[in-house]
Amino acid sequence: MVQIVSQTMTEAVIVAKEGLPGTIASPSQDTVLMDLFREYSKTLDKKNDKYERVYKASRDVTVRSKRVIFSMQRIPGLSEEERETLLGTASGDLRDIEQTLLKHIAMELRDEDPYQFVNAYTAGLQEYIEALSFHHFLLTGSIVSHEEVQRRLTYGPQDEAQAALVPLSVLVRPKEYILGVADLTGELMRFCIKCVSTADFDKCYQICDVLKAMHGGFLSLGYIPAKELYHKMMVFKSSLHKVEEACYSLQLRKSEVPADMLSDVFAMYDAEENSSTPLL
Amino acid sequence: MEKEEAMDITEAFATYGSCVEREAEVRECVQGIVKELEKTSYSVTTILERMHNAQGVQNISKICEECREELSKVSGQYSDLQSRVPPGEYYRYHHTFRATTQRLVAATCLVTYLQEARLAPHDEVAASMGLSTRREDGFHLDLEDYLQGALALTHDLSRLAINAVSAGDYARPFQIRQFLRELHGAYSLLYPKNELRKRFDELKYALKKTEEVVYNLSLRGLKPAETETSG
Repeated sequence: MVQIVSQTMTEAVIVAKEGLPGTIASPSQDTVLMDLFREYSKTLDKKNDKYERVYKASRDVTVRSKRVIFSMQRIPGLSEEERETLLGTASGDLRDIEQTLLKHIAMELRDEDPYQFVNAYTAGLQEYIEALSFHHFLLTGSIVSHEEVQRRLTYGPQDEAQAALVPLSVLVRPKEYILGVADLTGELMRFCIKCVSTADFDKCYQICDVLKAMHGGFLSLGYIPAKELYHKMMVFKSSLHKVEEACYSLQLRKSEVPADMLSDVFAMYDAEENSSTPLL
Repeated sequence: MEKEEAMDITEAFATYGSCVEREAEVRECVQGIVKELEKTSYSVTTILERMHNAQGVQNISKICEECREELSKVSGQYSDLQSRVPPGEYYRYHHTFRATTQRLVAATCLVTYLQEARLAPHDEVAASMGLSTRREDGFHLDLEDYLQGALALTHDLSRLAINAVSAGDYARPFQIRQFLRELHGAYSLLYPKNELRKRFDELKYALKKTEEVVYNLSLRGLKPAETETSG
């Protein structure tokens, strides 16, 4: 039995190596089949390559968006002037991401069904929305709208050279927008806690208000339709909790310590504990 | 000012909520039709199962005719499905009917092989289902679905090779091996990924199994003299 198996296995190996069917087959039918599959192979590779390119670009978007977010997290405690510079750089970086990487994705998606490739670029797009909305919030104090995001990622008219009938764009589904904004909450929490330790108390209350409004939004959805969103919402709830605690203790301390000394108290706390644990 | 913000966010969530709702509605509709397609697919599989019986091996052409009749329903069902999927959103709902489509492709390819001893190409299978092969035409038969579906027939064929021997048909395993070899050669031209790669492995196992059958027949001198495709 062992012999039989080994013999048939070598037969299979030979077939695999040659990659060709038995020589006795009628050659005409054979080549028809092979020609067909050569065509299929081309089509298949074209699709897979495109997916891969979109995926790569999306990963680059993620990396660069993360950098923008980190740079903006350094803002609390900086002077007004430094803050301006940082936000200016961030704004330039975001533009750059839009005009290079995301535009590249948009070009790949031209004349395609975006849903076919949505899984390849969803992660990068979410991270980008997170960075963009964070930046937008620091500038204006409000949450960037879905329309604004889509507008930024639509490249049609200003590009005369390739004025196509269909404007070039990366499709931003409401899902990606909501998921990106859900990620923003975590950044806002971090920013808020840092603001506490650098005595930017107005910002804390402002962030707390925005987070509460977003919480209301999440609750209005009722049933959470996407698994990933459910997970993000759990994280968001704990962030909200931390921010609320921070605002609460801020208010309490205000009554016992003069306002200008408060920051020193909190700076002490901040040094003792990790800033990610709620202040008490 | 703050009130406006709050409105804005609530609105965004409302948009998302209604978007999810719409998608759920369409999906439900699509799933309803997919169930019909599933029914057809199962009844074809049930008919095809008979070929593995001792009497079935002698009656393959009759079984194939019955299958063809059942499969002729598919084209109408797909045109129903087509009307439910919004234009340009084929891949949004693709996953809901993907598996069923592959099963139907497998059945169609199997019947074509049994009747004409060849692999039905992509365009032919698509046409028999009333579909296009081009994405530009909207609703179409995705190439990967075809390739995966076509591979699924290998398992059935390797089973048939064994059952044909039991039923006293010694020529069939030789033909099946030949066909599987050709198929293997053709699929070797592809660079399969993910699911398709797994299915391709199944083809190798099916081929190996059939080769064992052929080897056992040859060893015992049961190789029919008239088979030209014995290799």
